[in-house]
Amino acid sequence: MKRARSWILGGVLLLAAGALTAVTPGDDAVIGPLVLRGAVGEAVQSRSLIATATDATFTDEVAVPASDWSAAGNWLVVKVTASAPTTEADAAIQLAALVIGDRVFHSSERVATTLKGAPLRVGTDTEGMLAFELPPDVVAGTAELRLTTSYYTAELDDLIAISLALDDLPRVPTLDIQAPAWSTP
Amino acid sequence: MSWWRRQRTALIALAAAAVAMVAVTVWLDILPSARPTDRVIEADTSVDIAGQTLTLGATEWGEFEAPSGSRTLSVRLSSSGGFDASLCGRSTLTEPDSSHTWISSRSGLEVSSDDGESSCTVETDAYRILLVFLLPDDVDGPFRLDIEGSDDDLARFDIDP
Repeated sequence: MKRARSWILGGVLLLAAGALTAVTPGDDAVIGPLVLRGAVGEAVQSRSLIATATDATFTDEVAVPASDWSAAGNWLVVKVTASAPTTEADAAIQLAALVIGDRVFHSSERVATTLKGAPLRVGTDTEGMLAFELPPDVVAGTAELRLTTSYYTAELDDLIAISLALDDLPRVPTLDIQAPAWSTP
Repeated sequence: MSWWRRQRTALIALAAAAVAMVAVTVWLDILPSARPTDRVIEADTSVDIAGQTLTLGATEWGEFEAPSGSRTLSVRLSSSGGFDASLCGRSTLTEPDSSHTWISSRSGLEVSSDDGESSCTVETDAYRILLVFLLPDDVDGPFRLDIEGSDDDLARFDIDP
């Protein structure tokens, strides 16, 4: 009898340990970002960033008007208006990524005049562009634009996520990437 | 022999492990992330910082062209300069009521370098400093002007333009 009770108690403890393991959140849930979702044209505010994606366009070539630089490819250019909610210290979009399915594309650093890294102001909007160089097959589906002031994927911090329907976007032969500038209402 | 006495070796090892765990956590996690607090020097009009004496001068709204919905606030200071003068860190303007903080920056504004230095600098002779902040129209102050010096010193002026 005593032997059977020990086996039952052992089994119960084993089940309890299994259940506890099952309900314990994984690493992603524990240190993952707090995702703040929005749509195109909608201002989304995080701890350190206010951003609105106002427009998105496919283009076969991006060019920088201030220089002779241009590059052909399958580019997606997103126009973003951004500002800092409370402080201008370290206020800049340092990581802009486009998530399409299980693929993640970072905004191109080949284009010198994008909004990435541009200093943002408190109470004054800055308008600029983010350019993503995509594989030729990426022309449709749903994408998510992720923005953060962190240099790395945000952990335990806000992450702005704006949904883009790629099927609806226009395509132009060439697009000038304008340098960030203060936008006026 | 009591249970505590029989298990004393294990209990001592457990206690030592707990102390070691706390010590390692403090050493590797807490101490590296602890930033030394700046020594704040409250100033009326003058302050000794970064090897020089800074004296607060005039403030002026709207001296430089700003985008619609914004205006600039210019803050002038004079520096004594000196042989020990060194560079300062960034200058910030904080509105205590809203806790909003702006950084002095001439980027995008047409500010001539002849108007003054953008921060304190290495200079033996007296010179002028011009800080320019871009603020929304509806922000009136009062403000707290903080200038980071060297050696973790922070000069603080109250400004009510």
